[in-house]
Amino acid sequence: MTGGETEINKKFILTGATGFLGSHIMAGLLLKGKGVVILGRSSGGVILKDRIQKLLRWFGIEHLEGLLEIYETDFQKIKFGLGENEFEQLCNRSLPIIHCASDTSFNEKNRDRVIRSNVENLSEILDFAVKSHTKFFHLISSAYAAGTDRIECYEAPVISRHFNNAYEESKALAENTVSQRCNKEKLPYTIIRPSIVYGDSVTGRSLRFNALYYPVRSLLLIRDIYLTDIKDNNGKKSSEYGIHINKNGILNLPVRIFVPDEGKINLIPVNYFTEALFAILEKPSTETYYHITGNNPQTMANLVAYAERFLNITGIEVVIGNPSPDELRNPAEELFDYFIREYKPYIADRRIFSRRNMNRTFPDGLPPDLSYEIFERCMNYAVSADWGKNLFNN
Amino acid sequence: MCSGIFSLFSASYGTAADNFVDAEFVGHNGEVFRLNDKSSQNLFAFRKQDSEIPGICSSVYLRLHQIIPDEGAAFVPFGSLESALDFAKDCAVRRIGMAIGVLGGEYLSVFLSPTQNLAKKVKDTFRDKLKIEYIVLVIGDKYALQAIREMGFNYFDDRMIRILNLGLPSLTSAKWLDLINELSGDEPFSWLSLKHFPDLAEAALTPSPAQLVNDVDPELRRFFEKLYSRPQMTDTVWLNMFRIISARMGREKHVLAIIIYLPVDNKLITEINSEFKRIADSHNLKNDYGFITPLDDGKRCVFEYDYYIDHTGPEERERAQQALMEAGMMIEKYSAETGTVTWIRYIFGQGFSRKESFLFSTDQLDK
Repeated sequence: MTGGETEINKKFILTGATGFLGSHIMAGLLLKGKGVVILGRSSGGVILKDRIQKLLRWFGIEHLEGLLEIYETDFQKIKFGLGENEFEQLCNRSLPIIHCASDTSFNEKNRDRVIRSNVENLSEILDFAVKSHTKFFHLISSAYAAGTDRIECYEAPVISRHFNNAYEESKALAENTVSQRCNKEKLPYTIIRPSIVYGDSVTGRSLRFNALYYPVRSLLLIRDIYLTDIKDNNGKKSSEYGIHINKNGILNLPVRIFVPDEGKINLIPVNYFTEALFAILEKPSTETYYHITGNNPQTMANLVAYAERFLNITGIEVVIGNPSPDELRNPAEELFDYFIREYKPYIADRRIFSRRNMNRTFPDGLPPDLSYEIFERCMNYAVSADWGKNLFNN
Repeated sequence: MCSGIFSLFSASYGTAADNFVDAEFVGHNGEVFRLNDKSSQNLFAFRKQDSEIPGICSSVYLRLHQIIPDEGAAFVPFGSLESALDFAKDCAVRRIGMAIGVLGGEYLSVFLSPTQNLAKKVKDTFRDKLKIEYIVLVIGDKYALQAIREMGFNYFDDRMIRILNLGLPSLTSAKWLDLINELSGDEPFSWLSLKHFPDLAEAALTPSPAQLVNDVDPELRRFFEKLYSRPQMTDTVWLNMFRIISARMGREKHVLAIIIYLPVDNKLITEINSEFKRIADSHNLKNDYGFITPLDDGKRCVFEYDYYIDHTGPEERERAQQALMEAGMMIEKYSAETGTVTWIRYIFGQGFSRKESFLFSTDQLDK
């Protein structure tokens, strides 16, 4: 045993540290002087240690590497594939666990993989939590685990039977698995449910460029296709669809975005996510669910206005309702719709997330509304990082 | 005629013996014989051994195959050889398509590009931006092409192939390609299913003969532009029908094609493919996968792997000879182990034999 009460207060076991949220949790803990025991795996031939070091450099906290312990693990293997002694020693430390590892695919084709990763893999880590008498088990879930049966979503166990995709369903199943097992074994636990997380609202920096970024990237792509046509082909194709550069030098790009109803998009910046999470970790209350969500979700129309300004385009129109099957759609509309197909449930979402527990735990902490300045900062960073391709050169 | 003869159409029309009615030969001693003479030598037979040709074929009567007016081509993209083989085999087993070939990036890019420089860029673009490692080319009638979509595969159709071919220079510099695969998420190549994608591709690539030949030497540009203005030059069916297999394959270096017949067995094929590569790499020779065409309803296939040499350099020639010798030994090893791998060197001279005779060895049974 390498620690006692002191270590329990100062160290966390973290899974998913190479992911978007996990890496920010890791960096935040290290900056608070907490030690982090990382359980993770190699990917694409790169060992876990190297993946973590790359992230530390991105956060500019290489000097804090000494606070890390890194274990290459496989949650599908007994005892994570660790040696007997190594596993026993880890158990004996009884450290609190933040389980953040997750498969975030929304595609139905990946259902089996998502369920295996988000639900079935839990059994081994819960066995570990029980064996180590963990001080606290924190599951990073999703606000969308609430499912689609109700508009009002409470900080309470999921009662929905219907979900938008396998990801939401897997998160609901995972919450249920964790609560049942922890209740049975009398282990303290929390369920933490963020909504859609984008980059840092202060610096604009981000490690992932999906969700909020996808519609903007899609419009950028479409804009560039038609700018090429206008430049190299006298706008031969563009003119067929009324696409042209107007007298103000702005590209008129008539694209109707069909959204099923007048819902909104619930967004929070990653720096708010970590602040709120650390408030929970300071004083966790067992069997408690926390919604780390925005108070003023954005409308799609608002985001479109931001995107038009950022991309120097005009003509994008948000249409409430589904297009009829024989609705004539231009190529740009078809392509845009295709790109954001998996995000459709989230760009017009009517679900409202109550924040009673969250407000009680973090009374002064409300997420900033997504202003154009924040939007522009985040998108400028995304462009400078070439949407992730030059991420580690910045 | 005596080499066995194969093409992508062998998937449905077989090899030489499947297609002739009769043939006349002048034998080694000047005697004239016909294959249909009951007293002539049995050229349908096959032995896995080097053989001399039976004579000079002086005339042949061939079967003809009907051309269907709605024939078209499909380039079905894949990220791995295994998935491409699975699809090609499935098509062959179900008898979908008349011509089927699993083509590698080198083969495809060289075939499409008018210059060596462009071919290299196209190959990189296919692999790095579009994530296409292999393409299964299927030529079939409209029902065959519909069946491919019903099987759940998206493909470049004739219009898209033409756009792609004439817009190649823009393709290599198109930044938007980086995004298209990523935004396709977990359904690679699903963008090909968009009804309007050809329209977008036309806007983005501005395809034209003039655009394609931008990279050609200025003094040849006019000629190439005129050449590519002919619709046949971007018509995959026509190009294959008349076996316009471009001399471009040997544009950079002389091609040594190593050809074997074997079962459509993914494990065996990927293993032999890796061995061909390992041997060539160890002798510092440029090398690449060529193509695979399924034969006999997908039970067997013909596999070409290519080594490239500068045949004017004695030192490189020597390395190539050594590599070929090692590749030959490797083939013989697999042939002995499996009984189902046959090197084309034994078919040369016995090309009139029934394909069943060299595709399905009875050696193992004899033992």
